[in-house]
Amino acid sequence: MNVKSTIEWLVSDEPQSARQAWLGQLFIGFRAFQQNVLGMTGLGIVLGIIIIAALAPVIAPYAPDAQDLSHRLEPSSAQHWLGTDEFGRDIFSRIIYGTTYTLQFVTLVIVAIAPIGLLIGVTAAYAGGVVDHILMRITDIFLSFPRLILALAFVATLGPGLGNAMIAIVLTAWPPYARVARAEALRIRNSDFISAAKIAGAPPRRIVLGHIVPLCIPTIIVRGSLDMGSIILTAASLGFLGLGAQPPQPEWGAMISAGRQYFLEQWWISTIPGIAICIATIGFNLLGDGLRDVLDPKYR
Amino acid sequence: MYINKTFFREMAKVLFSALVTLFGLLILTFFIARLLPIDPVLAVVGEQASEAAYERARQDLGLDKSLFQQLILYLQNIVQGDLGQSFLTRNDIVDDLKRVFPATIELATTATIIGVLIGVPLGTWAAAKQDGWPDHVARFLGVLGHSVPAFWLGMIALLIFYAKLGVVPGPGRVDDIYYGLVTQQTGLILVDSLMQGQIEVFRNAVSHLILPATVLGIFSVANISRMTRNFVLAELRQEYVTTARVKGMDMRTIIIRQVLPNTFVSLITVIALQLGALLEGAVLTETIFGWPGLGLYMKNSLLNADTNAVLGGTLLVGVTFILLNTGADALYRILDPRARN
Amino acid sequence: MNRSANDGMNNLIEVENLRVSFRTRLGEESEVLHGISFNVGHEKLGIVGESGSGKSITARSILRIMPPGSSTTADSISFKGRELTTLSEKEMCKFRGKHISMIMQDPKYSLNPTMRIGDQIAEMLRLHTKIGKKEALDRSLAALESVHMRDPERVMRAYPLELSGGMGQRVMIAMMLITAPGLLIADEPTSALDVSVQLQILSLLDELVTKSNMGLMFISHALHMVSSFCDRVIVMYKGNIVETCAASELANATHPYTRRLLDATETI
Repeated sequence: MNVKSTIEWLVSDEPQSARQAWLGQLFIGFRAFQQNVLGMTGLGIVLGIIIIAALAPVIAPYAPDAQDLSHRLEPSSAQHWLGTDEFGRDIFSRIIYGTTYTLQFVTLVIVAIAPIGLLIGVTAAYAGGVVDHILMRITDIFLSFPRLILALAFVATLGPGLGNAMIAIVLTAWPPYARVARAEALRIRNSDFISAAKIAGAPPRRIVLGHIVPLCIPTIIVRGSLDMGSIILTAASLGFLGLGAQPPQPEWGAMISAGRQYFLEQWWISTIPGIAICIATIGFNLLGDGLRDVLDPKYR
Repeated sequence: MYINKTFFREMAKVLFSALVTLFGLLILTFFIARLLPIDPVLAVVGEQASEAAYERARQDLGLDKSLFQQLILYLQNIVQGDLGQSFLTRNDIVDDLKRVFPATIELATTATIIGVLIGVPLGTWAAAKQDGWPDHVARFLGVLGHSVPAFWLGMIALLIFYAKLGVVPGPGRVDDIYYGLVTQQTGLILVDSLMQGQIEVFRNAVSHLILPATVLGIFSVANISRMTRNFVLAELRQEYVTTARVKGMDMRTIIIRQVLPNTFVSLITVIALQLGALLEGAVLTETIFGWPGLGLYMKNSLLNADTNAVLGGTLLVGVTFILLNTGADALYRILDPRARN
Repeated sequence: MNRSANDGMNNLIEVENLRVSFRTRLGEESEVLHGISFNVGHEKLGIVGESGSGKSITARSILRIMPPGSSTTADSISFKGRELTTLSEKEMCKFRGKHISMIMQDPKYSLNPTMRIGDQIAEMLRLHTKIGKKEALDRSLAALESVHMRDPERVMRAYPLELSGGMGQRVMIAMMLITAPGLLIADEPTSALDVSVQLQILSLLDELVTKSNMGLMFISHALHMVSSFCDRVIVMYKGNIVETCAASELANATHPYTRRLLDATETI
């Protein structure tokens, strides 16, 4: 099969098999994503951050916590490209190492939230009735707080720290996932092939785990990718308020907070981590928007 | 307006739903408080307290009772307007909140007004001329609003406009010399100063408000313009727009006379939510601008492990959120003939 | 009255080589209307075809109200001898509604849900004539009476959702005819209605069109309805006109697609 006929096979209006239809969808989606300049930019930024994080020890000229008190608060120079902070630590190196914190944070949070939201949403949709009502009511209650405020309340009781900040964000960020999972599961539950599986005598557990959950996953991926930027921002906010990552961890939010008292004179100490946060969130947001355009039929 | 039996039934539903959410909110804050790994008794009596004093404090706080009884006690206290005492300020938390919340309201409302005045026209324009420059501006602002940390933008703004250019005054709601000239009536200094005829104070307060409100306002513009754009685009796909075109109306008139009015009701909900979201932004930016509002209060409480005060603030934000949502929901049902069917 | 298809003098609208294409998701142009030519006189012309055959697109491209992402070309579209393709958008706005107007499938969607009926009709009048609000409302009420609306005063103050489908379509007809246009396009005007109401709307259309000697382009997928209601029929299939004949001669049609449509109708 040459390239042209492969493409024709992929975009065929009358696919011969489910696999062809699925691959065709994927191909059209991929082509659409490729043409989405902003989405590709986002992908590029995110990949860049991942590479930087993986190669941090190679790229960074100094260790993130290497202090040099004779070179405190210095502006950009040949030795310290982005200057030094109040302990004479190299800001460039700390920004580089900061990527690992950001990536770890956002990955762990998403990995924890997605199953929780999926479980609650699908359970509500499949069980229906009272269970659905109660679960959605709980979801509404969580949604009735701005996310950061609720996270603050959790951190206030759990105590500050990176781990607790993660737990707090997980505890506050799951409701939208439950909402979309429920909506998607409801749609799928009422489709013909689920009725067919029921008639064929498949047990509920098998229907939920084998049929409904897999079909909800793309929606959850879209939701998650759209959410990553805001999770990074929340993490940075908690770090800034002194409730997330603690010094001397090179977390960007905490770095901004530490540089505040020198800000009006040595502005770069706080400004540079802020720019790093912006680039990372822009990358994740653009990627998320691009994925949504491709994966979510409502936005085509 | 459509005041009939169905209307009252709908309103009752909205109200009931709000009450249930409010109740859930109280239970949630109660359980967050009980997550506390530190001993709340010790926090009251101190490390050196005698066995007897410890036990008395424990009973005072109701911690010897069952969890359910504690919950009832908690709810009773809240109904009586008692959120406990702040460890930090030694005041009743309710009094503290009454003092700081108006400052936050003033800031968030001003930012929302900026958001509406700029965001709605921008979003409409962006929808009308898809891929034109207003569309790009709206998109850029949208990306900015979702990617830039509010506290960082506040710092940069302060650096440029206060430290470098010197065009705005520094932190706080008024300059020190004006402090205390206006007695607190509504708590909104702009309103109070006008009511008391203190034009100088009013002017000074406006100059203090401009920068923080604009910084928050950018986020508000970003969100409101994006939502306006989506609403207008959704309306433009409706068949009645085709009808209007067939009638011979030009697109501009269609958007102004038919499409925009139809989005207003949805926009009210967005604006209400936006005002709520700005409470969150205020928590972060108030620290930067030394704005003596709820955000600064909560941050200080957080850093001093003053859990009751934090939960009191959380509760206040939650209640405000519910009120805004319920208000928007009710308005929607009153104003939109579509909501009736 | 003799309504001959090829009598050029009596033609209201003449369309030559009308093409419409859309851009697909893969960024390629896809032509959906392949250069059709036809004309409409002072007659009831039916346009039949399955969904996707290009009937509605034909109507909407004449009025130039196609969605963005589509492109329309034609050698000529003329109305009473006036060339429409060269009109500016501004001139087209003055033209639409005054000379050609259109009613659509479902009044539930084609009327603005948040405007009172009276205001919507009066708006049409005020777009094309210089009259005051009071007079416009009075004439709107008269227009509602002319479409035999029951309780027209109440309907004037009502919102679209308070009306039944049949009443809504009467409102649309009253609104679209209030400027006395030369041609009315009816795009599936009865398919969203109950069967009993369908006949009432058809006879109303028949009455009004005959009375004012205007042209009617009646778009439908139902061949039997078109053949009994219209004077002349155009059959469309996949963006082409495959058959043009008098409604009475439809039984002798030769194109295989028309035959299939006819056979399908007979078996019902």
